[in-house]
Amino acid sequence: MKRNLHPADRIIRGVVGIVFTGFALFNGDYLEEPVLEVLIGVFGALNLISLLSGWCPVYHVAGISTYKVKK
Amino acid sequence: MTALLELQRDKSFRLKLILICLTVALSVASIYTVVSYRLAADLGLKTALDSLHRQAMLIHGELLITNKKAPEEHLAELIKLVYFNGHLEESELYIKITGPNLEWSIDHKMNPIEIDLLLSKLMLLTSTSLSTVDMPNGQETMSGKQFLWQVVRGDKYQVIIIKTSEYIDNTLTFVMKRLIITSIIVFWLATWFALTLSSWMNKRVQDKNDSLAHLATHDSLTGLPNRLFLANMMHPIIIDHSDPTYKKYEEFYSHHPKQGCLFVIDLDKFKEVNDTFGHAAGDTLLIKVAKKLNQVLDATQTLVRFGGDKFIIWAPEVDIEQAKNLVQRLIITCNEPVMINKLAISTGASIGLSHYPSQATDPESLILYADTAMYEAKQNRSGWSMFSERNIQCGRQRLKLRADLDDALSERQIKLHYQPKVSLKDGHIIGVEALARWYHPTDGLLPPAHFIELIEQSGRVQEFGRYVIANAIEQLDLWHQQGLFTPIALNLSPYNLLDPSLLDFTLRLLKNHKIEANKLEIELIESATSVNIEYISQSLNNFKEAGIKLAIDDFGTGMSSLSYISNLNVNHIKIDRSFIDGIEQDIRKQAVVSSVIMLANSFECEVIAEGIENKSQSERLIEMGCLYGQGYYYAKPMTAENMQAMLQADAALPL
Repeated sequence: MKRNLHPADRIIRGVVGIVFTGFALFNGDYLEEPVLEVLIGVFGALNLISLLSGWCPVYHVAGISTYKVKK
Repeated sequence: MTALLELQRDKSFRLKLILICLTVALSVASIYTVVSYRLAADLGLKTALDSLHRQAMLIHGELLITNKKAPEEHLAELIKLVYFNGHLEESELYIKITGPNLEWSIDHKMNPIEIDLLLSKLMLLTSTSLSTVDMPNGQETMSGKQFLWQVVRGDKYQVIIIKTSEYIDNTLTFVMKRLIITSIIVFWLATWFALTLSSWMNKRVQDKNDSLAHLATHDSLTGLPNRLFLANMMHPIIIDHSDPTYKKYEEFYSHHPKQGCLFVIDLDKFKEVNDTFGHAAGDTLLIKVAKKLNQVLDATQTLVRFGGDKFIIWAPEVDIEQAKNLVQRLIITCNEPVMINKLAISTGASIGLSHYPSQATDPESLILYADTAMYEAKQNRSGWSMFSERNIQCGRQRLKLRADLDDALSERQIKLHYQPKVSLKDGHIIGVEALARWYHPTDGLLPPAHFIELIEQSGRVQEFGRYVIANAIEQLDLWHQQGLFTPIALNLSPYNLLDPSLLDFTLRLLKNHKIEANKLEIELIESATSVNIEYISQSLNNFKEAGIKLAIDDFGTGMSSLSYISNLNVNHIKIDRSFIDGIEQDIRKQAVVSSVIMLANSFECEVIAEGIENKSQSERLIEMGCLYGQGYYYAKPMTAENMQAMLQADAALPL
């Protein structure tokens, strides 16, 4: 997996990931909707993966990279 | 051509796709949000109104069942139990009950002005209602607050309940948080989708563009880039310094080469290979030569097939000395034999080169100059030639003449001059040779060397051949009317003889002018037979059978075999001037000439010596048995009028 995320991009994704995962895990009942809870969990988890690896699967498929542009 | 490059660099396509996907996603998300919010709000309103209706009915029912004389206390107790019981508090409430001997109302935290306004509104609404037992209900907005109301009208009692509604707040809390979260997720999915879809579609379109661009810019036979590619490639590399936008480009193409050389390569014998072995062999030759040329070049140099058997090489950062080395290698490569049909064929090539920026700064001129140099190399058979300032004049002159060629034929600027052929013994004129001269409006009188090649290259050979024949026959007609019956010989290009209807054309003209066919003679250059020997000899025989005389011009200089002459029944053999020049002293030339005379005698044809310049040459030829001659010693080529005067004088030449 080649890195394709700029540190800023990575940090934003990290924050989004932590907030959403945390929300889904600890406060999911607030939504009163299990489907949304699962979706938010997945969304958060994918963002966390991006945070950890510096790689975004969608960027990869789309051939975008924010890492290269602002070196 | 620049559009092709823009096509390849089209980045906006992808951006547009992403924007379209996101717009669609946003619209879908917002439509769903709005519709589901309204749905939830409507449901909430209906539930609240139903509930209010039941409350009013309950109070009304209670009044009917208890049926007391003074039910006010009972009602107060009931309302307190239903509405103010500690776990379901109403924020604002107003209830009014009217009936026989009963006028009771309760107001909980409601503004009396609002109550009056609402009641008057309700009266207006209910009075317009048709049915007397109607139970209308609804929603009213007043001073920013939502009120729900219910009127129950029984036979005895009428109950009105007004209260503030909480259903909108409930809807907001229940529905909005889900909708917002859903919207975020939908948007996230849509972005994902948009990025993937746009990249996928962009890739497909780009692939198609690339293959189209490749098709458009590459030659299908050799796989080499073509002239479109060359134009595209060189346009950004080479900067036109006179262009006002130069500064802009200078930054953009900061890596453009400081110099470079352009080579134009033309294979010498491609046409012959095509004619002799067929087009498949010609194609094979091109492919093999292209491959070999490419091996000589390094990665920065580009080989382009310009069309036909012409190749172009662009070598950036190459100075003239390096270019001369490279051109030697290219010549050696082109001279290496290529195996075609199990035969080793050495095509040879003529190469012209021009240098950027010392000679030209735009691609078109570079190509033109290299092309001009290539033609010079081809004419001199020198293999290669560097473009020089002298060629600029030549090249411009060629271009100008080529453009003027149209007028030359349509305005009859090309006229025939005539040079007499004489009997050497008595100097009598036995015939004349017609020689084309171009009376160019600005360049003056031009000899055939300046324009015959242009005519052959511009594809007007057949038109020109017919033009010359028609002119000669008209001249014959004119002279006949004056009582002059001197035959005219004219030079035809071998390509004219490939014209299948030329004979018919000639015979028709002869018939129209009532000229005998034997007054016309066709002179053919010996080397011309290499074009398509079988067809031409057949064609010549047809002319011969029609009575038109034939002569071989410049005999001894060409490469055709003696068997050709033995097969072809010509009337005259004209010995080339190179054998006559210096014949007085040169024994070898004498030997050649006398053997030609012997040969001609045995073929029963006459020998005409060309280029006789003095009396001693003439005398020597008479001694050797040559009967006829032509040359400056007797007369130079002259206009038709002068020739006519000379014929009418019936003078013995030289004068």
